[in-house]
Amino acid sequence: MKPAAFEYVCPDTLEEALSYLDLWGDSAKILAGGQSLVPLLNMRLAQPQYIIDINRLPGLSGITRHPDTRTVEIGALVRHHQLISNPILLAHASLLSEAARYIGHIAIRSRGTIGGSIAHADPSGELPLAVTALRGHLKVRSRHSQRTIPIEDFFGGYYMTALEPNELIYAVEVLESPIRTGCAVKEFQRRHGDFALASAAAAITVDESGAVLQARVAVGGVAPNAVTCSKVEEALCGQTNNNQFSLAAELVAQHIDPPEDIQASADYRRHLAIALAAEAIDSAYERALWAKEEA
Amino acid sequence: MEITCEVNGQPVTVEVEPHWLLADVLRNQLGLTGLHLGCEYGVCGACTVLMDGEPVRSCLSFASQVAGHQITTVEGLAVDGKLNRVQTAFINHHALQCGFCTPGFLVTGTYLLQQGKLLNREEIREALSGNLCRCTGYQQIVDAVEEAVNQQSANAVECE
Repeated sequence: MKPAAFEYVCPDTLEEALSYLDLWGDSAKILAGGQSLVPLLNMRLAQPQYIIDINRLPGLSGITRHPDTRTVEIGALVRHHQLISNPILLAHASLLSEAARYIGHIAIRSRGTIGGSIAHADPSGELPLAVTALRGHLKVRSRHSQRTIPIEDFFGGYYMTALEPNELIYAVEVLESPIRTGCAVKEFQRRHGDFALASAAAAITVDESGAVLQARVAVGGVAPNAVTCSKVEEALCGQTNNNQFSLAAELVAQHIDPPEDIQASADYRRHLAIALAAEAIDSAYERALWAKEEA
Repeated sequence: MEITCEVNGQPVTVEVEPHWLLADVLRNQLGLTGLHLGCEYGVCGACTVLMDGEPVRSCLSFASQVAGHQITTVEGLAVDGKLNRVQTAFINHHALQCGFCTPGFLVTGTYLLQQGKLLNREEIREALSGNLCRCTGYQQIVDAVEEAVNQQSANAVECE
């Protein structure tokens, strides 16, 4: 199908974009990479009156490390393929690079953006999962105000977020991964590039002896939004072997109550979430040990 | 609104409605019907074009967005009437049957070729996974792209 008619603006400055958004609110949609929004427009599931194209806004496409706050800031317009190969991310927040590899296909990754993926809030989205696991923050602006929203307060159910109608995400901020950290994402989908039935992300930091010092674990596709698994993370601390990792991964079940649908039963999704979390933890731990050898 | 961009190496100015998809404008206004429009929601890959050298779905972009950008469709892959390596390999390997998906595969394959990297079969399958074919079972398509990509990379290595 074809999209319904809309009015289109393509502002040159963030201030101008925010003025339009302030004026039009709910009757406007922000167009970034368009890889989630345009299918909705084509199928007429969304028929906004106005489209605000932010692709030409300057200053939203950078990836910057801030050593003073030990954070990495990713502009909302950074494309998925940039996440995969960016040296700052590979060195300091590689979970985002790992996650981006799983998104769709190359022609999707060349356009899709991190800000768009998070604002779209798909329950099986890879970047919402990774940023959730890392306890990232979203930097948000409206015409007259600015705020930083922790990702755990951002999602409000399927495709719902805490964004006000006049607000726009302009950057995503995550803490730098400590030294001796390994990251991994695992997901299960029926066909390559499909939405995941379930997914898991892990960032594991080890101490000098190789025991787990800090763990970050989240699962996706099994709840309205990605879920952090603090019980798993606590159980992993101090551990060194795969049997204990598997036992810790079982605790994923205490964090989720998966939905049942035509694609999978609740039990099957729960089974997948646990198995994928165990795989992600194993793989992240192995990479953390490599990082320890290199450190 | 009027937009000016470059299509297959030629500057083009065209009058469009903001909600017209790039794919529709390329086909209907510019007559580039080699580009095929299948699913219209970004799944099948038949409408893939290069935008500034990167593969994109032309059904998920609006024509209004490509002002100032360079677009290459399947019509722009041959140089001076000579088919490129991927196109030639598709003929040699009989990598098409009905031909509907072919323009998308050729554009994606050409993008891989232009990366100038040696790719193993698994990497090629991953790279082509965003293009659907309902006739061939993919084997000959992967064969063709593998030959084209790795022949070029092997030549490049020899030149070094």
